[in-house]
Amino acid sequence: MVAAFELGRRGFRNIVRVPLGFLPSLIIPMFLLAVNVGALSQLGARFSNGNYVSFFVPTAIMLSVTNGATGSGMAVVRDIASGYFDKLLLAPIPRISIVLGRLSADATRASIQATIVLTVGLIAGSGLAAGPGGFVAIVLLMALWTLAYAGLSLSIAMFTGNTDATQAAFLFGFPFVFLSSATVPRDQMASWMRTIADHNPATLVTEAMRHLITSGWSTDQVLRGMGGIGIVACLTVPLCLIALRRRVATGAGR
Amino acid sequence: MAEGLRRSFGQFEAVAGVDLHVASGEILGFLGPNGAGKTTLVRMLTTLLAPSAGRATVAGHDVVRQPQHVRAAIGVALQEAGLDGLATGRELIRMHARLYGLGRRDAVARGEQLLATVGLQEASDRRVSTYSGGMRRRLDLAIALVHVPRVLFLDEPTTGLDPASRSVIWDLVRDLREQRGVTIFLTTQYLEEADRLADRIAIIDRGRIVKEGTPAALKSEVGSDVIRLQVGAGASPDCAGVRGLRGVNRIEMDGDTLVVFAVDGGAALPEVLAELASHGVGVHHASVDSPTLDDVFLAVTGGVR
Repeated sequence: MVAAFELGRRGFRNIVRVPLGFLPSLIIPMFLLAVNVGALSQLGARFSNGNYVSFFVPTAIMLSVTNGATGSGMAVVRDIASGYFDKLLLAPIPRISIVLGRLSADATRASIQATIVLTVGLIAGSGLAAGPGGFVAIVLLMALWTLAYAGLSLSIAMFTGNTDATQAAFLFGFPFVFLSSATVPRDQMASWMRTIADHNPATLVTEAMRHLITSGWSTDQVLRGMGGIGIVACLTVPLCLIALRRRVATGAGR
Repeated sequence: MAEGLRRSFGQFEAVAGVDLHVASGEILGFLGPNGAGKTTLVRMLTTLLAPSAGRATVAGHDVVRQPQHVRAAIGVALQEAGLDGLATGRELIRMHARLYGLGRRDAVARGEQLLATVGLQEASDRRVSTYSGGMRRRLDLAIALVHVPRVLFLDEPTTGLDPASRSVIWDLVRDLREQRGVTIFLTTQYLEEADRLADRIAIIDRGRIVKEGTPAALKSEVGSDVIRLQVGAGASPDCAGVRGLRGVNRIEMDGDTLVVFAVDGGAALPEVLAELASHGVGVHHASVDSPTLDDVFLAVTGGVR
């Protein structure tokens, strides 16, 4: 635990020291929030009980946090390329703590991103029907989502040790968000897209946040959101463990 | 200790059966041409790479079955100091002290002590990315020492360093052995470095240990004076018939220099020069010396570096 904590602290410190690394994933979703609300608030009011801001805020949070998580592996690739990953492998610590440290840094970043975007949403008039408990739940959901989703980026990083391949994790992020109910309610979608959105775990997470913002507290919705996160984790955690084991076994610290 | 240690990458056998024993408190100089298997062997001994066959123990622990014990007992400064450039020197050394199990207060104290030892106190609050190569090496070495290791692996610790930084590291290595009895496995390309620091030397070539002994014993094994003749590029040692002269043990080409190992260098020199002249080979410069580790290395590896 000490190792994971220390490595998490190091990871978060490095995130803060390279603001250009995380600012785009914060600024672009807020820009989209402003543009979409400005352009589509009349249209969006039809399916958002008259408040399109409250409908779109979960989308902006999801975009911000997911894009941030896809960059998680880049830090590991930098460590591999510089040889610092070897230094960590040489320490008498459980090697899983290298991954846990990285993920905890990313989860902290995600919590801050979610807090900022949600606060901006509140200022823009989204409201938060579930109150302070809902605020905490949304931040927690995003931290957990990052723990699960960032595993994909970390896995690619550890499998390949390659910057370009790891950057390609962004390609997975967009379908996750845009093929869910992030931008339109499921009942407004074409049937093919609705089928995809129905099976997309990101739909459960987005709808849980949306319910907390627009309708109020719902334990059922929060659990469904956590279920969506669990589905992603079932895929990414084993993948991440295999990638770590393979990198360690082949001695391919760099 | 290594017994029959092997490591293959596909069809290529980088380490082809190494047997090696390093006594406690000894400094072993580990030499070899590029690609001879030095780094692969070090990575196996430090648990970064699993052997394909054979076994090795470090500080009494098996590198495959007890890797955590090995890691807790060793310090490693690898060839290219892999450090976190975004951290400051102080942050990095304290964090590594924590990773090696020191309490928060002890980590702070140990970090300050080591920063002073390697002369980095003034730069300790600067980010590592701003450090020179020598400062990075010294920090890397300090990090390798946070837990007072029983065995220290130094992989080419002074390559590319200026003489002042090199001297700091040499002094530190000597102190570690003399004051703390640390066993040191020193990989180096600088034969002078091995000659100054090592109690014993092992030379690896094509994945096998081809020579092992004290520097003095290895030099005496060459058993000859060394005549160096700068003959210019392209000259072939065989064409001149020097090999057949009386008292000449062997000859090697080292770049544009013909190296002749002879029982009595002073006596052989005129004959060698005459033989070369009779074949039209001009000599720009000639010298006769006692053998050095360079000559041992040349004799053992055939001059391939």
